[in-house]
Amino acid sequence: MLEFRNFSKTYKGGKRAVDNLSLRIEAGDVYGFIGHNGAGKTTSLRAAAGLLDFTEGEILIDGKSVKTDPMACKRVTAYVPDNPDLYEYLSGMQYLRFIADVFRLDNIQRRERIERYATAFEIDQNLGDAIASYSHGMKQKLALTAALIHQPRLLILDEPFVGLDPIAVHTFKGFMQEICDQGGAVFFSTHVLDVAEKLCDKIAMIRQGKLIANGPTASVRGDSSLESAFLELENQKDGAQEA
Amino acid sequence: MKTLRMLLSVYGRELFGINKRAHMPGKRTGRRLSAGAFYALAIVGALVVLAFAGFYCAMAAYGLNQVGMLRIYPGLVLALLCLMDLITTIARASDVLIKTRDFDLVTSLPIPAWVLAASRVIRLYIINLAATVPIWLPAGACYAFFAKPPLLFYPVYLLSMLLAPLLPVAIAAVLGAVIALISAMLGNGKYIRLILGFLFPMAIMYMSFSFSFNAQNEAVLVSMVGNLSGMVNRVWPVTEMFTKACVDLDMAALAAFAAISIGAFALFCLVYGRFYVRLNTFTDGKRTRRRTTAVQGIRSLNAAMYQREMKRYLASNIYVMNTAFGMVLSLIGVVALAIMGLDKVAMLMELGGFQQYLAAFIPFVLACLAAMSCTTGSSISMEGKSLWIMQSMPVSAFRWFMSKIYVSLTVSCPVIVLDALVLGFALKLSAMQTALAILMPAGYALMAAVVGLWGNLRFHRFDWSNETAVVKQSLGAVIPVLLGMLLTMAPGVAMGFIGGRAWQLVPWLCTAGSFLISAALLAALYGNANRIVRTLG
Repeated sequence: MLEFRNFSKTYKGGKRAVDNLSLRIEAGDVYGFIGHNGAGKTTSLRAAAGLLDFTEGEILIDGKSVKTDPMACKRVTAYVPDNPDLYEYLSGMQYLRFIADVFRLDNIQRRERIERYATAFEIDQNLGDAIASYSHGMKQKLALTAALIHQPRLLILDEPFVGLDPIAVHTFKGFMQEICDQGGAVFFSTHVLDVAEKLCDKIAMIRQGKLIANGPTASVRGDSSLESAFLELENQKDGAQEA
Repeated sequence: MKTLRMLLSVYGRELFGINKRAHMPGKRTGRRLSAGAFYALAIVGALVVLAFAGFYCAMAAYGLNQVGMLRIYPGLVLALLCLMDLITTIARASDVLIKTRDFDLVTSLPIPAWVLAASRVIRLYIINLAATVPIWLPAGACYAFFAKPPLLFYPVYLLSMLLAPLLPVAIAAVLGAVIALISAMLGNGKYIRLILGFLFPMAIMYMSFSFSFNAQNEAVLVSMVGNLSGMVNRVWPVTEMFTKACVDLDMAALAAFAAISIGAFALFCLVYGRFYVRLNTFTDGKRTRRRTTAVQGIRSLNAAMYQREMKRYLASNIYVMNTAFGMVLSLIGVVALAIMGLDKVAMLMELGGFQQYLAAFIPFVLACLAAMSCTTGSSISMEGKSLWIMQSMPVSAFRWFMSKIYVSLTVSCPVIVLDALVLGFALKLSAMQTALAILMPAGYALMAAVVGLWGNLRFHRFDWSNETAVVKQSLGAVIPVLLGMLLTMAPGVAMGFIGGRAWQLVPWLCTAGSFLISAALLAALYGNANRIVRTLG
């Protein structure tokens, strides 16, 4: 579904944000991506979503290259950043309508899906209001609604649960599972390791741009919790560096 | 005062994005070169404006000196610049004073409200002063060249130059705040603000000109120059004080001018500071609308992109005022000329050769206006932090860019056509002359739109805290305006030096050239769009 092949990204000025990342997300996976601040998670997600230029390695979505065939990749993908800055000058409905037009949804599809997702996230009563009047959580819900209405095969999410109330978190988990049950995949970053542990089939850990652990959650976690495993891996690397 | 200086210093660093470039991670040399390049470009731009301003100031001073009216020259400059300050500040006042992006951040800090308020108002003052200094200085130099005043003139003039923007900024800020309040109360805020933002300056201009110009016949027209002093004083009442201060070196008049200017400014600062938080909270009102899930029909991708772009454009008062105001004024001027001014035009047309020259210069004037109305110069930057939406959409970058060009053409082309048709009818231009008056400005509008887009793709900023910083203070926005002025004025002036009938080819060559340049730049954009968009942000 999504594959990173020796992906590396070096920013201007020489900062190597991601170093030789190779990762494979299969259809049906709910894949968690964890790491400390500045580890390279957002860079990897943005590159996969086609927002970032890169020269080293390759990223494939459904076998198509993000670099050479970005349109085909974006048609099956939905990306939601960690702090979704939306068009404040539009109402919620106008924004959803714009997304529906871009993805060429017909009248019935857009009506049904907007109704379904907006109601599930409890923002249906606010769709007529300007996005500028939304709280952070409402903007997050609107961004997630917009991501879901075109029924993507791949969801790429950067800290999707930040700002969401518990009901919305529960609702969104259900939608994520639905996408995976239909043959899609979800690849998301999070700092909330409890959520990652319970929700994700597979986990990838990244540190200073390098992959340090990858695989089914149970094997990454081992006998302890995911948090303990993460801290242990972080400390191991620190110890190796000091030595 | 220290906090105020710190705030102003922070706002100053936002200018042109120079500070950001100077501090991006990377080699020090590269950063220095990047920031240095911006400084150099800014200096070049300022010198170009200074040169143009100097030329016009010199012509005006020479002309007034020839008719023995040099005395009114400083006052004339004051009145014109203050009116310009007034009109332009109304548009930007609400964006700089009310509900800026950093409102929550700075208001939560332990900084008194009056300091926050003063920092914003002083910012407006500095913007106005910076915009008018390139005209004040050459104007003062030209006056001094002809009048040879005593040494005291220079410090008095410089002091008056610093005082001059205070009164118009205070008045415009009040009007801008009133507009923001009215639009907040009525709902549909952005459209109300836009309409009021156009109406207020036009009302001011109408009142100014109706007080000053009421020529009924040729005799009155000729004596207009003699009455200019009185007319100017009616337009801007403190002009008399300023003239006495600068020309007669009357210290009492200077003190009165200073007192009125500083007094008005200080009064506004006090009132604004008193109601700073309340004003910002009031205009932040949320109105819950009826639930709307009605689906209004499917749009094509191009239509969806164009509407999105148009909504973005119309959502910003300063964006619209900065680009569309000139075109709206030109249309009103042309229609007013056709309806009310035909007899005066007829008088002028009877002057030898005037009709021929007027017909020749009309396309250049309209082309200059069209180039200055380009919206693409800041259209990429205006995406701001929502850039990720278009970057992640399955929409080709070229199609996205073209939607911005379409909006720019929407602003200028209909007005160009109307202007040309009305002028063609009023001035009895031939079909070819009317066609040229449409084609040349249209070509320049397209060229400015494409150049503006390229400029903003190269010089973009997404980290702005208020739209004024992007629309009025960014390099991307300035490039198409300067280029348009240069590419209309230079051939226009050159036309005057070409003998025989060859000069008639100049506008046609300019027209063809503008379309060719546009085609070449569009082709380059088509080939590089996807690559460029991945490097943004």
